[in-house]
Amino acid sequence: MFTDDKALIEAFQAGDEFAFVSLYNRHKNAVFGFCLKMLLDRALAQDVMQETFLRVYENRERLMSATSFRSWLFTIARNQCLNQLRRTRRHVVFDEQEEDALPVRLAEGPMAELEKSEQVELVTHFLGQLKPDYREVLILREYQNLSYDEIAAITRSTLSAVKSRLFKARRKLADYMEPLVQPAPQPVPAAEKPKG
Amino acid sequence: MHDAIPRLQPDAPRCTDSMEELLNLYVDGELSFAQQPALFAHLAACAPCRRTLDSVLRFRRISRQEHLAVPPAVDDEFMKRLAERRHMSRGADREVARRPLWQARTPVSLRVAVAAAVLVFLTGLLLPLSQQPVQAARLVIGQQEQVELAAYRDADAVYVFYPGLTVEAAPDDEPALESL
Ligand SMILES: [Zn+2]
Repeated sequence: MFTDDKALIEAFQAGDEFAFVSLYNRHKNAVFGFCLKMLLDRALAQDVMQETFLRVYENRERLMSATSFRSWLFTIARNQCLNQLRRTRRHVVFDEQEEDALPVRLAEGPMAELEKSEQVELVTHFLGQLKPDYREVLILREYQNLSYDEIAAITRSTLSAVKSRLFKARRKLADYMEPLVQPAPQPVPAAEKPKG
Repeated sequence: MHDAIPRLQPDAPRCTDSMEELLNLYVDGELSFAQQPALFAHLAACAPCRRTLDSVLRFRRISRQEHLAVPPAVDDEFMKRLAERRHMSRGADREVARRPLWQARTPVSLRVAVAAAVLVFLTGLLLPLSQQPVQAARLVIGQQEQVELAAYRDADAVYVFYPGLTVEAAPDDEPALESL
């Protein structure tokens, strides 16, 4: 798949517009997913996803190497999302006191007993409580499955800054989730419980 | 004890940062084998860290089971916007010269398209600018030697390409092009 991507990118840079459409089709869902989780607004995410690819199209000569295409794509998407967040200030919680209330039906039962769609809604709600700089690393790592290095490149950060933010984001997330998770019996498969 | 912690407690005491780091690295597949026994030994003895691990993995499982797909209508919208951008990047003067040509005719047959193309081409020869649409030329599908015209459908228009020159028709005209 990666070699295909590389060939497509080279064709695109050489001016092949069908290659561009193929790249769009390959990566649109990932970019849309990133934007949706960043902005938490479907219509805005669709718009920003489109704008991202239009910028890719218009700035193709700025892409230095085909191997960095995904990072470049997400860098553009991220910038677009941050601009959008600055403009709208929607779903941006800078102060913990301003946290949105959790919908009652989701807050009641143990998480495992919720429908899948409700679980998704729940974790998305928690994601929305995080500051954008925590949220973005978590999305890039968990939803997009990117490496620390890629995340550092996309967010213009150092490796240690990425780790720090990611770990803090997870800590906050765990704080939100733990009350809703029933005490797990033995969640660690690799660690044998020692006697005594 | 630890399991009895009822609600969110942001200020609850944490394990050491180094243990938290090991846990995170493990989750990300970045923890070396040499460091794993220390983490597992700690997890076996520490309920809060087990719960953190459980939450992180639970979040991952839920986040990855959500398939986020772009709706087809958004694809259509994107192709339309792409066409608009491409349109804007072309010369405005050429656009002025082209428009009256085809706007008066509906539907457009291939014959008319070719006639218009030739007309545009001749007009182009008389104009001093380098105004041939480079991008359009790259879209040509030139598999047949005799008919080198190719149709490319945009959301808002049908383009007929010939190396170096372009004819554009309204989307309603597409049936005429398909019946070539
Ligand atoms: Zn611990």
